[in-house]
Amino acid sequence: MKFTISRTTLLEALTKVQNVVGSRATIQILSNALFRAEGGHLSVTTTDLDISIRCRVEAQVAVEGSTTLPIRLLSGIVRELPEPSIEIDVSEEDIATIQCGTSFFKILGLPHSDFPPIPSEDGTVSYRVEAQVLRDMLRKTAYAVSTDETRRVLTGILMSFKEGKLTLVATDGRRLAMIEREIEFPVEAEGDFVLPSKSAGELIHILGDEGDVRIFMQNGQAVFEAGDTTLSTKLIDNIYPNYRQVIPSGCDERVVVGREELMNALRRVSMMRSEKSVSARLTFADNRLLIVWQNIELGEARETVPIKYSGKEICVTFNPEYIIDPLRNLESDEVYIEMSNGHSPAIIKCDQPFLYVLMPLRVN
Amino acid sequence: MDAVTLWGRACDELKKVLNEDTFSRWIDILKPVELDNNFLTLGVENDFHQMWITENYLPLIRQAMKLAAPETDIEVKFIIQSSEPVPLPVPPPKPAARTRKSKSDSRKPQSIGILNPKYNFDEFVIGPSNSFAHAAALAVAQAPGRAYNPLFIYGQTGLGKTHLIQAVGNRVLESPDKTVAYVSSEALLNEYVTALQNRSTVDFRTKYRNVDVMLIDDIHFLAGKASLQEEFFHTFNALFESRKQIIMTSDRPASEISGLEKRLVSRFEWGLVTELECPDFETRLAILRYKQAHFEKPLPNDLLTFIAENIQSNVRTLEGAMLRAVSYSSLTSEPLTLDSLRYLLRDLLDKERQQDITFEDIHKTVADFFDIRVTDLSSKRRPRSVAMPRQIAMYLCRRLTRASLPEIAESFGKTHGTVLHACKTIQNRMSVDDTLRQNVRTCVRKLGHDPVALEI
Repeated sequence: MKFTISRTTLLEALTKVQNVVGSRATIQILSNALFRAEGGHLSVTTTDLDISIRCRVEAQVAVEGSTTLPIRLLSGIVRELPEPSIEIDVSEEDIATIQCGTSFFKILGLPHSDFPPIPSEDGTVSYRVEAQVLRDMLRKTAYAVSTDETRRVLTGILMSFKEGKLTLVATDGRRLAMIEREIEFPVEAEGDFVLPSKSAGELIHILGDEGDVRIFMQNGQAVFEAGDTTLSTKLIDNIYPNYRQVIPSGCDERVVVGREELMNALRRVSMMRSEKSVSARLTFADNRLLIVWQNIELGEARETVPIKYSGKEICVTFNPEYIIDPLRNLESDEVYIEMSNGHSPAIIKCDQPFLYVLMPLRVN
Repeated sequence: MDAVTLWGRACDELKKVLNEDTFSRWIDILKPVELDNNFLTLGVENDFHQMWITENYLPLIRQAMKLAAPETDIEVKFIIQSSEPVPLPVPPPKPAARTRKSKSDSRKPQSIGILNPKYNFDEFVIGPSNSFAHAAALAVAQAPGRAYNPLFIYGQTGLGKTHLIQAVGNRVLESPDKTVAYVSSEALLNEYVTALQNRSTVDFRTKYRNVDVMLIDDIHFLAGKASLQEEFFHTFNALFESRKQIIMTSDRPASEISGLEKRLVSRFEWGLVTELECPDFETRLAILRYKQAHFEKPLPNDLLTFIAENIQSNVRTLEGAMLRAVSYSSLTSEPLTLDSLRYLLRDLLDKERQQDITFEDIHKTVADFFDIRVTDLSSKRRPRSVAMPRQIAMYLCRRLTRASLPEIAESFGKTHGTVLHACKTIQNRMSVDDTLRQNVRTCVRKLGHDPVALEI
């Protein structure tokens, strides 16, 4: 196998696929990427047995063939290479020689036959979503997944295709993030899928601003195809709990607050965070939000944020991290916080069909 | 008061703090099931519901309980009552039957660590020094999580800590639905480090939090490992709260393990703490008699008595000594006499002797070696032939005993300054005077210590 490729193209492909490879893969072949050169294209594939990503880029292929090479080493090398064009020649024994300007590298690979088989899509497109829209929706929910492996279903994101809408939900038991978008798909394709959070992270990483994602769902597997990049992943095969129960039907009070102002104020008081102190007290009254973080060991922080609110005074304790998370991922200038009292859940909304339920903390 | 009335009262309290929507959504749908032993069981619809309530409303419910029943301390627990299948992961079915021989078999994926089937209660020889620990371990094995929790066994090396703890594990595994994790703190540390590197601490956590009985050997290795202690602290709490049995062994009491966090120490001392002491003569003899049943050629009684009398500190050494005696007689086919046994076991006997060296031992050894009288060592005379052995004796007293300088000085009838000077002199001269070093080393050896280990 022998091909010539532009350095930036190769680097782009390697960056897209390399995250899947853990820094300490237990099986050696999994720290390698599968390279296949045929008909003017080079495809690079990595897998951790749960997720695999394939990226196809243009290359001048002189001799077709396949091999596997250690991806971290290779992308390290490619990043440092001096010239814009790279020539890679792989021998029958899977030894790759890389030639670029004055640089010469020899890398030991492994035979491509050892690489685990990658599931492929069966041809029928289940859904089609704009890449940018899907990335945005994932970004606005992915941070809320649980990290508790004992409740595996909550470590994933629910992707619910129902009633002409795609709904994404993530919750960890203290907060819940939900976003909806209307998309078109046939009625018989309705269904719920739970996407592992690592796959969601990879999707956010590979999806660009343009084009559509084609999604294939089949027996516990999902395949996302966006342009030249394909991600296939195992799905979590448990039923997602009834999340609608968590969303309060209505709240008494509504606060309007500047997103960045609130986020920056919360970030500043978060300086008082320590292992024992994770909560701040928020008091809403008279067009003013007072945030107080008292840390017995360190001291105290206070911030005042102007808000639009004239209802009864509400005093509530939150983990500010849990408010910063959604604020960081939204774009609108203003957000709305809805509450009833200091014991009831708060809802953060914005001008999009986005909703975030946050449970107050109890302090004795 | 029954469950329904109590819950009704608590609900009235909760209604005051929660708004209507939250109340009907989360609290009203809980069903009081039973009130037993200060535990109120509430039925929930599903796992998700239970999680949301425990995460977010449990403190409020507890508070309401206190108001509803101020005189008793009532804890709340939940059970899932649902006609629909539970949508969340259920643990895989446990194997129905298990033979004791398949301890490391892959068919029982839930038990962790390999237990030695030889370590069981039948093989454990009981004597006054270990009967308490044995009884406690037996009680725990019969009713894990209910008898004494945690059980903390400590004692010096080779007294049967691992035997007892594994015996509990083996006994518990006889009942088919129980899972046991046996791990040494050192293995735990390695696993934790690997988990940190692979960022799989969650696996590490869940692995140990889902067993019925957790056996941790040599817990003193946790000393000074702050982050592992932290992790272990939470695992300990998780297990303890779900009434799972925890058994630990250590070579010293928890409070004497330096570098162990106070909160761990107090937790270790929470349950039953038992000590394995050095076995007395009768127990040692019983152990030897029991063990030698495995050998073809039994040793005569007087030899067994000699071994039991002279090797006192450690069962492992005791067994080793007997094995040596038995193999000697079977390999050489000569009948073993008391004298040849004494010769055969000379190093062990020396080692036993070194346990408590007295000033007198040192005085006598040094005086013998340099061919002077013991009284010369403490006399006022200072000829070179006496002064040097005296300094060596002082140096050895300093190195081989834990006595203070004044104590040593008193045994020689000198001041502590003299002793200090002697120690310094010998230490300095040894680095240049090889003959002196050899003399000191010989004395050390005669006293049953290893000079190399002491860096002399």
